[in-house]
Amino acid sequence: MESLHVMSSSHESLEPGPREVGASRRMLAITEWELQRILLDIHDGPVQHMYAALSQVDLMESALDRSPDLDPEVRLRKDRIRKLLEDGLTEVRSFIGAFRAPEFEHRPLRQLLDELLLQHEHLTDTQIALESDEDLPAADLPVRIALYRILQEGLSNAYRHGGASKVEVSLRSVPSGAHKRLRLEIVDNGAGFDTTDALGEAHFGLRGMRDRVEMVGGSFDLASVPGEGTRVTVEVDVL
Amino acid sequence: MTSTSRLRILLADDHALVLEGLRSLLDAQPDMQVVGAATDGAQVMDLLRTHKPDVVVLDLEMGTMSGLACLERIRAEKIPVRVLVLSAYGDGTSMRSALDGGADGYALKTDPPRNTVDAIRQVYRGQLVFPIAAKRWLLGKSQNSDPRQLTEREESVLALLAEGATNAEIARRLRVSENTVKFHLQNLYMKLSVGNRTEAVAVYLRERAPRR
Repeated sequence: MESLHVMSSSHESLEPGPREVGASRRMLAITEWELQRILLDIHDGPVQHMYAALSQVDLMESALDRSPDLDPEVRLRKDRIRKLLEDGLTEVRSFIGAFRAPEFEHRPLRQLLDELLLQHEHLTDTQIALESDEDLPAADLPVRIALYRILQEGLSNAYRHGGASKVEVSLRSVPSGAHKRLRLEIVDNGAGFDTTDALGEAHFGLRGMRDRVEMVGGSFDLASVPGEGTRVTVEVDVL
Repeated sequence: MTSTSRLRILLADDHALVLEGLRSLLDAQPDMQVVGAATDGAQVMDLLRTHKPDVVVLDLEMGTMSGLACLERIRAEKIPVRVLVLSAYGDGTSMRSALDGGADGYALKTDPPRNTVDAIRQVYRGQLVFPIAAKRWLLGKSQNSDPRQLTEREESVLALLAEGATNAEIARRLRVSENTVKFHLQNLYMKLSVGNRTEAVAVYLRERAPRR
């Protein structure tokens, strides 16, 4: 498998000081807050408008039913408008609504990931296997947010771009000197892709995954082969 | 159907466009009549007392008093009205809080409005209406792939049912809301292929009760 390995600086000679790691971890919380703000705006604005517009289409339909000499094209156009609005709402529900933050503060990582998988299975009608160690070390808030969002992006990629029918996710505790370290692995049997320039401008989602890992001082590894699938491996020390 | 036998509905939403659209749509139904529209929780409480509707359609994300706070007041004051929550959000946390708060149903603004219209009729008839796909999500994933296999919680509900406990008693013993109990029961009936609690208890006594 062609592999692209990105070690964040914390495991190499350019180790950032505690202040930098602290700052980037705070940035992660701010990013999360901004994301929630955008989601709120979408649900409070466009969703309400589309729902209201569909009510009007329903009313229009009743009015058309009362008009015997109607040009058939009017009905055709009306059906087209309905379809477009319904598709818009379905997209919001499937791909944007799913980004609503769970209660990160109050839930352990394992439970958060479990719920994410359930949600994804329900939205996409795919099966995902999750393997995890029984006694995982507790992860602090920035690590929980980072791993949750990374898994979310990984699942979304596997489904939307890879067309994967099977995804295996594992969450394990791995030895790492004095620290405890978590390893999250997402393996799919989807289309795979050429990893040349995988972290370039065109791959916004992958870059986002890598950036999130870096913010919590972890490592990110991506391996993919066209026609065979993709594996994402993330390791991060828990404080 | 005469106007007096129409379903009386109170709408509560702080989006004027949604209120306007839904109101016209419901009023155009032969069996429905919108008796009031509120844009915040305090208004909902007032209009409930004045108009005594059959069903209130409650937006979860209203400004001053949230839909959830409103739902809690309605249940605390034991106001006899069916509550259908209408929300833009379809995540597990929102649905679970509505279920635990005592909502009779949950409709999504990301589904077509005619689904909302159907849901109003269903909650009025006493059905607990939640998006079908959300069931598994709300109740947690069964560890077992056998579709007939009951979850641990369903087993507890069934055992209490066999002791003759009412939904309220089961809810109290298991520390969950009555709606959650109803939810478990619906799933239980489906898994045991039975139609009601008597049949469920019969299956339990025949196949599952601990032998003495």
